[in-house]
This record gives sequence, structure tokens and C-alpha cells, in this order.
Amino acid sequence: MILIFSQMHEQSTDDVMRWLFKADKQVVRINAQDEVKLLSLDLQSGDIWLQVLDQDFNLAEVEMVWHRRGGLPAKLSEAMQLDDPFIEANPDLDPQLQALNARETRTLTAYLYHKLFSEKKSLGDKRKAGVNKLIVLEAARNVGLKIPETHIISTKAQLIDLMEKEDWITKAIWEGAYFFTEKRAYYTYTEKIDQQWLDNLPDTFQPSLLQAQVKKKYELRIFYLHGVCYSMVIFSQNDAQTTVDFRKYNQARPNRNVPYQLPVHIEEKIMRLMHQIGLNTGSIDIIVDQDDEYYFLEVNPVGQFGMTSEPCNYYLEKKVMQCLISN
Amino acid sequence: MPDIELNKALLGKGTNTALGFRIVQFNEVLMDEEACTKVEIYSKALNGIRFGHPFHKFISKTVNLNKLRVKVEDEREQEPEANESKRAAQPPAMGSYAPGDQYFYLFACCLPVKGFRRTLICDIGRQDYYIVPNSMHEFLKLCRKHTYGELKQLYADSTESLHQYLRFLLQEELGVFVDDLGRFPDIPNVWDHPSDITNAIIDAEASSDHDYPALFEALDELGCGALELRFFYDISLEKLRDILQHLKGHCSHAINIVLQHRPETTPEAYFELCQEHGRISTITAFGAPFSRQLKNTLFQHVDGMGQVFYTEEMITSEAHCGLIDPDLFLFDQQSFYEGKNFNSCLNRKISVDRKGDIKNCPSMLESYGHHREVTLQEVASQPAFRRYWGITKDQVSVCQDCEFRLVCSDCRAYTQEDDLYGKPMKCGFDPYTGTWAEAQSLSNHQPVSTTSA
Repeated sequence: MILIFSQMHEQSTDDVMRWLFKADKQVVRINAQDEVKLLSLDLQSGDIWLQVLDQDFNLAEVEMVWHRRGGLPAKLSEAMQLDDPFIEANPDLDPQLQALNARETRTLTAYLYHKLFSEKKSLGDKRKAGVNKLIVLEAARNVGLKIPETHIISTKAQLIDLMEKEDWITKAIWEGAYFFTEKRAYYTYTEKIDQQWLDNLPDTFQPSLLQAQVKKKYELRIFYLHGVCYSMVIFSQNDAQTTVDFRKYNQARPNRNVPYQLPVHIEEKIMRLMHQIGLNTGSIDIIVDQDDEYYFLEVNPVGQFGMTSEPCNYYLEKKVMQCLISN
Repeated sequence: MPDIELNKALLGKGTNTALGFRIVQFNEVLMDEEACTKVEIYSKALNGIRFGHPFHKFISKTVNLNKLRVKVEDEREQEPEANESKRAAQPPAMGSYAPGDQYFYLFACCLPVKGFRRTLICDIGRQDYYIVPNSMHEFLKLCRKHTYGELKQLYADSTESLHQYLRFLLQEELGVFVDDLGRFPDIPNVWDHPSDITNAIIDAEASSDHDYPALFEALDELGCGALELRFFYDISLEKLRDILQHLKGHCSHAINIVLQHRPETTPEAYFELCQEHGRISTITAFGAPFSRQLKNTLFQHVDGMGQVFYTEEMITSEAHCGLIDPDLFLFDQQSFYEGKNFNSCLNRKISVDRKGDIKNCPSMLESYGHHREVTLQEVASQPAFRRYWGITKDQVSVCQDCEFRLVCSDCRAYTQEDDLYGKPMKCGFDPYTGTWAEAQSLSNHQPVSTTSA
């Protein structure tokens, strides 16, 4: 049995599952939105029965786990009832009890992840899905990849100083904003800092990530899967709209996204990096500058790969399936 | 909820702010505006009635294929073009487009297909096309081996042509100069799909007695995503609703419906049906009072779904199928590589004709048994049933010399001299002259007596 953690409507997961069905594999999928109940856990036999959407299954029967996205929910049972007479008598204790229960569940969840990702074969790892960009940047530099000059600053004065010698971009330290109201979506891209920004900024602000803007020749997107790099080059330089962040698509004249062959020495470094940070899959962003230098930007353990698979005709969904069924 | 990484969102006005947060620029998108950006490219269906061509793929462009998009001095084949003035062969600004040791890289998603007289550059990245002279095909072949400097020497006698080619290719963004061609491999020439059957046609006339629940069940099990239901009579919308009920919960995600228009049926009634069944991609009502796509006042089209077309023509049998028309050409990557490796009409298709017989296509003679006696799954797994799937255009006479061979919808039912490897009978293009026959008999959809069942 193959266990997949994902989200509702996640296209790549759907596609991989179609391939798995063709290969006649039994699959259990847990979406981040799903309710999951822990029915029983027997440390003696190792049986762990979970219920997902009325379907019971035993974690012990899982042979392979794929962490695409999501994970187990915060609660593994019905919510605690508040009609406990003790709590009713001491309502001040309620938040503390809730917090204790949450910790209990987290410990349980950590054990389940340990059983799944440490003791079974897996692709992706829930526990490593939230990589720390700064740690990864350092690790990349340590394996010999170039990274753009990086600063974390919190004052306008620092920014003014830096802007005198370079062009800078800013991006999220963790992840970009992704907010919704009923009518509107708000989100952030990687942006170039210009004078207008300066004018609008207060003297001090929350620590923000600044990176020297690389004089981009083209951008690479690499899907790494068990030691193999599937690379795509994005020719976005011709287009002012996508120069800083290719996700700002130009509808009329979309960027050219075509297959790319990395130099062997870069592939080797990527392999070392992924090994070092303990990832067997992920999406890697690299910029090639005007002097053909490769600058590592970041790795996203749960990044999209449909956007690489499709234009390059790599059939990555099929390759992921093969990874999941091979022994 | 749109996925920002994938969603080709409309860019709103950005506002930058510090918000006590961190340096951040917010981009704002109106949610409903977003839904309507993708639609218009899927229109234009009626010229050739999207019918029996691999209907699960959509038409992306209005094409005028007689226009030679680039003209070169030494080309004998000069078509008189009233509104397109010849581009003068201007030398590049600095006398040179790039350093002499660089290579011109034609983007891997721009694929030249050489025909007898002309070459079609299929831009499957932008779903566009360019008709160019065969001399440019030769040029592009040389570009894969020679630096710009070497090309200049090779074209020493015709530098003008060289610069005209490059000017065109650079202007249309079909390629760039690069240092090392080895970094830019070809797109892998493969096509595959997890489903044994990807598309199906079920035909019905008033007297047909199909077991729809069983058929749909079988198609679901086969993983068939695209389904065309063709009713050669004026089936009532109530009856149609009854049939569609049985698709609930199945994997089909694009359903095309063809039926005869009833005078009392209003456009709203069709759209209501589309709204109830979000997986209906098109309804084509024939025998209608006029021919055009109806404007949907009920809801917003998303991804080409829920479109309704009227046509005055009568579609009374499967013999209307098999038309080859530029409007039905497909320039997307999936179709291109499917067409390169498999038959672009019959590959992974299964059909049930009016009488209930299982066939590759309703217009073909060969039956694999009645659907009440043998299941679709049984038929689909037979090697005999699959033997047409691999007939590529390279094996078809005349078509093998045609520059449109990899974007054309093909037809193996109505062919010249009834030869399995003959050119589609309802194709008006002659690759040896590079001309299209006038719409002539092609558009009147006369049944072809020799092969209609």
C-alpha cells in the first residue's frame, strides 16, 4: 500500500495517482483538509489503525510514503468536550488543558511520522518540508554552489547604504504572503527594490531578506528526484514583466520554457546539497548570470513539478509513480 | 482557490508597504476577473463542426494557412500578398547579430515540419505556427552544426537571406543566440497516458437502445476522460438529463454533446444543462435557426467549458465526420507528440455506433461486437482493436509530404481509394502545390457511401 499526503485538488497528485492506478497499486491519500482519526495504536504488534473519510487502514501495511504536501491534521480525534465538571469549575484552566492536549497530539503525530518516514521507504519527508532558506543557502555555499550576496536588514539606513553599491531584490524569509478575502487575493512575489520603495518605508521594520540582483541570462527550474535532475530553462530576460520573478506571467508572449542540460559539476553539487539537507526530492531554482555563473537561489521540497514536466515533456508524474512502486 | 505558482493570474496593481511586517509588495487580483481570462481562445468551432476529430482537444487559433509568413528573395514560390508587404532584408544594427562563435538556438518548443514545398514551424510553446520556405528548414539544420561566424561564410553569396532568416526568427522570438548548444537538448519525443482509453464517441439515433449506465461504467473503468455523445435526432433535454445522470461520479471530465435542435428549446435551457453538469464542454445543436456560438448569460465559462453552438447544418449520421480543416488543427504539445508517435484520431479511442456496435470509430466498418454482448474493456484490450493506434502520418501517402501532418486531426475511415494508408478523403490540401481546394464539396458533409455502415 502506498500512502500519499497531499491537498485537495492538487493536480500533480491526481496525475501520479492515475499512473499508480494503471500500475494496479493500492493507494491511500490523506489531504490536508481531511479529518483523520487515530483508532488504535498497539506498540506490541505495531498495528496503527487510522480512519480517513470513513476508510480504515493500518499504517503497518504501508510500504511506501509520498509526502507531496500537507500532512496529518492538528487533531487526531473529536475535539475535547467542555462539559467536564472539573473544567467547568475551573474555567481558567481550559486554555492550559487545550495546550496540553495539543502537545500530546503533536507527540503522537511525531511518532507516526517517525514510523512512516524513518522506518519506511519514502519520497519527500513531512518533517523536512519546511526547510529554512537561510540554512539551505549556507549549505549550498558549503558544497561549492554560488549564492547571491544576502543580507537581513531592519532599518532604512542599512537599505540606503546597500543600495549605493548594488541592485537588490527582496523576498520572503519563510514563504510569500498568500491572503484571501472573499473577492480578492493578495500575494507577494520576489520584487526589485527601487526608489519608490524607499520613500514608502518607515525607518525601522521587521527583519527583511535582501539579495543582490543577479544579472540574469536565464533562470533554471530543476526537479530533483532520487539523484536525477530534470532541468528546465526559462527565458524570461526579454520581458520586463518577468525579469525579477517569472511567476508574473506574460499571457500574450509567454516565456520560453524548454529542456536544459546542467553541467555535470553543477548536478554533482546539487546532489551533494540534497543529500546534506536530507531531501530525496524537491524543486530547485537557479539563475545563470551573464558570465555563465550558476547561482543557487532556493529549494522547495514540495514545489510544483507539473510546470516543469509539461513544457519539457518529461512525464515526471510517471517517473514519480515509478519511484513509488520500485523497491 | 487559485494556485499562485500555476495560475496565470491577471496582475493587479501592486502596492508596496512595510505594514509592520516586512518589506513586501502586495499584488492584488480580483477573483472573478481571473476566471474570465482564459476563455476566448477556445471558440471558433463551427466551420468544420468539431466532430469526430479528437474532440477532447480544443482549437486554439484561427488560422490562415495560405499565408507564407516569411518571404525570401531566392524563393520561387512567391504568393501575391496584397496586405503583407515584403520585409526588406535589413542588415542588423551593428552589422552582426551576435559574436561569431555563438550558435543560433531554435527553441526546442519550435519544431520545423518539412513539407514538399514549405515548412511549418510549430510553436507548441505559444501554440502558434509559421509557414516558411523550405530553404529556411535547410538553414535551421545548418544552425545546429555551425556557429554564426561559420554560417556567414556558408552564406557568403547570400548574406541578405541569412540576415532575413535571423531577423525573422529573432523578431518572432523563435530562438536566441547561445554559447553552447549542448545545454539545450530537444524535447523528448514521447507520448503516453495512464488511461487505456482517453476518448470515446457514442452515437445514437431515435431507435437506438444503448445501455448507457453500463457503457459509462466501462468508460470510467478505462479511465476515459473525454466523451462525445452524438444524437442524430432531436432528443429531448429531459431524456438527455436522464442519460447524463449516469455519469455522476465518473472520471469523464470533458463531454461534448451533439443533438438536433428543437424549435422550442431556448438557449438558456442549454446553458442550464451545462450548469447542472459542469463537465459538459460543448453542446452543438444542429438544424438550428442560425450558425454561431451562443452568448452565455447564465454563468462564466471556465477553461472552455459550457459552450453552446448552433449550426444550421444537419448532422444526420456519422458520415459527417472526418473533415480536415485548418480550424481543427492543434498546435499544443500533447497533440503534437501524440500525432508524431500515434494516430491523431484513433489512438486510444473507442466508439459505439448507432446500432450499439463497438468500433474504433463509428464510421469504420469493422465491429468488435455489440456492447450488450461484449464489454468495452474486453474490446479495448484486444491487440486487433489497437492495431490502428500506431498509424502515423509518416505512413500515409500524400500526408507524409505535408507540412501540416503533425497538427492535423486525420481520418482513417474516409480515405482515398479506401486505402487504410490513403490521404483523408475530406482534406482539400495539396502539399505538392501548397494550396487548399475551395471549400467545395468538403463542407457539405455528404455521406461517403463506400464506408458508411
